[in-house]
Amino acid sequence: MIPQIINGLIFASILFLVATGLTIIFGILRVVNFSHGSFYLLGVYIAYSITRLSHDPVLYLASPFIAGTIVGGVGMAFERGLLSRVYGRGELFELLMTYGMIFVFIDVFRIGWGTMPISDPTITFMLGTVSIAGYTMPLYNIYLISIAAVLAVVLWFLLFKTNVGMVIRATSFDREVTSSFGVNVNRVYALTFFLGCFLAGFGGGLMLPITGAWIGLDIDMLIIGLVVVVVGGLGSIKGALAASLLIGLVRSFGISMFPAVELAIVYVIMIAVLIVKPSGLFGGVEH
Amino acid sequence: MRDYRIVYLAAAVLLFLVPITGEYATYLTGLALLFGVAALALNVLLGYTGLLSFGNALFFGCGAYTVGLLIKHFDITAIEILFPASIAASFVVAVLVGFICVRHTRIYFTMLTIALASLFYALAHKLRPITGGDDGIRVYETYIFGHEITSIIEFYYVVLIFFIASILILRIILKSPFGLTLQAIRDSELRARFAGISIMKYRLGAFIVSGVFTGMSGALYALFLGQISPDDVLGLTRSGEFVAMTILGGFTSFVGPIVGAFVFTYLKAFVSSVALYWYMVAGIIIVGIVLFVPMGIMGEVERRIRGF
Repeated sequence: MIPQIINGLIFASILFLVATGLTIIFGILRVVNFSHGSFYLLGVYIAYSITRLSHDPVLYLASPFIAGTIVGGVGMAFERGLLSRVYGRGELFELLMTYGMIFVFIDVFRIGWGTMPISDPTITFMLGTVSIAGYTMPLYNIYLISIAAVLAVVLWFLLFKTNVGMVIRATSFDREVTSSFGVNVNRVYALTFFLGCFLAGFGGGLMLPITGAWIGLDIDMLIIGLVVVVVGGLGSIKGALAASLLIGLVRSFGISMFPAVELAIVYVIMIAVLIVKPSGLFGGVEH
Repeated sequence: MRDYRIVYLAAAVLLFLVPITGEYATYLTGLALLFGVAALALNVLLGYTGLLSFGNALFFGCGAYTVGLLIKHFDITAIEILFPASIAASFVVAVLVGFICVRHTRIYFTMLTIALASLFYALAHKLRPITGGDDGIRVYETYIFGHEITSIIEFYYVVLIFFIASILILRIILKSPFGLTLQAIRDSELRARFAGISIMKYRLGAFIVSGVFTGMSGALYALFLGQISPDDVLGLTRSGEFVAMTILGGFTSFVGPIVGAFVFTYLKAFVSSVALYWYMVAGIIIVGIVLFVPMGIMGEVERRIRGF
């Protein structure tokens, strides 16, 4: 039981980071960012390059933060430079643009990091192991889950207890009115995109020692992220948290019990949730 | 109004003559014809109903895998059985999936189509004993009424007949009261509802039409190519290609998706043969269309013909 739970929590942590980014961006910009999986993968690759510089454990632990910041910057540049040009033309074009970026990124990855899968578990050896209820596991796994939990709290604090968060929430509630109160909505959009992509890149950096990266993971991550967001309710962070835990644990137990249909179970849960509650677990918005 | 029948006739003659130019051109054009039908079917949803499906590979794969599985497990090699079986399978899947999807519109609809297509992708990928997993299924030695189809050129004509028939049927469907009602719902759901139209029923209808035509083109794709795999026929990138073709050609025009399918297929073959980075080019093309020609090739052509 314990190993499945820990694995499930690791998976849930990453899903939470990815899905929260997707859901925040949707909540504010009303755009589903199809290139979100690519930003995740970019985070893994950048963390890999950073940790080539030196085998210092501090650098290893810092690399997800650095990777997340760089990925956030790339995301913000994309939003300002390209995506913002098609606002108001309808979601078809916004979606297509983020979809097109998936392919641009695929070749960026191939040119920058080659076509072979990459991974670097060095830090898990450096940190050693820990025993829980008789099961020995890498301390890094516990670290990953804790740091994701800390980040969830920081995010909650940022969005609900600070002025910046208030402006972000106001923008998601009513863009026009917020704008009329003198808020620079464009800056809120850029900041939101930075935040969303930071979370994806950060999650990617954290997973370098565990799964690493390969081309194709971008689309896998996007799809599972979308499933989490749909199950949790589009635009709801609480929903993203609940759905990440649900799907992370289900997948982890599914992999050990029904390896052949493990992914299918996830989709069946999604269909079941949508039939019972079309707006998702925590989605209040009618559509 | 000018008469474009002469243009269509010329295009049909040209398509009929393609095999003269050799096997490779025939193969590429055959693919373009099949993708053309799939893009047209996608546009029944996108252009005429206002629903963006990013999961139409689900039906494409459904048609293809119906053919593949019947050959692999039941040794059925008669196309006159395989093809109707694919139609039946895509119809059933379209009804089931449509029932879940059409209750939603806009982005929710799009995300559901992705997720449901991914479910079928995951099954094809993981149920290795049945589907062959990653390796897919080889499709070979197929017969039409006892006559074995051996050359790609013979098959090309089967595809061409399917293509022309599909265009005619879809044209009739979209010009019918059913097609006009879809457009009315697209333009104003509220007004259509006031007129007493059952929105869900019509959306489900459009979904089924789209699914069945995509399924048929998938079935012929499996037969034409002789090899299918989950990534090729069920992946997100397959669904995305249908969308990209439709937008490239122009979703506001009936022939737009076909033009898009041709341009996309030839361009992909050309770029892949001269450069390593087709993906980068594809991505830049998609972003470029969105930025500079959002109405696509035919949208632009029609605008110029109308002269404003």
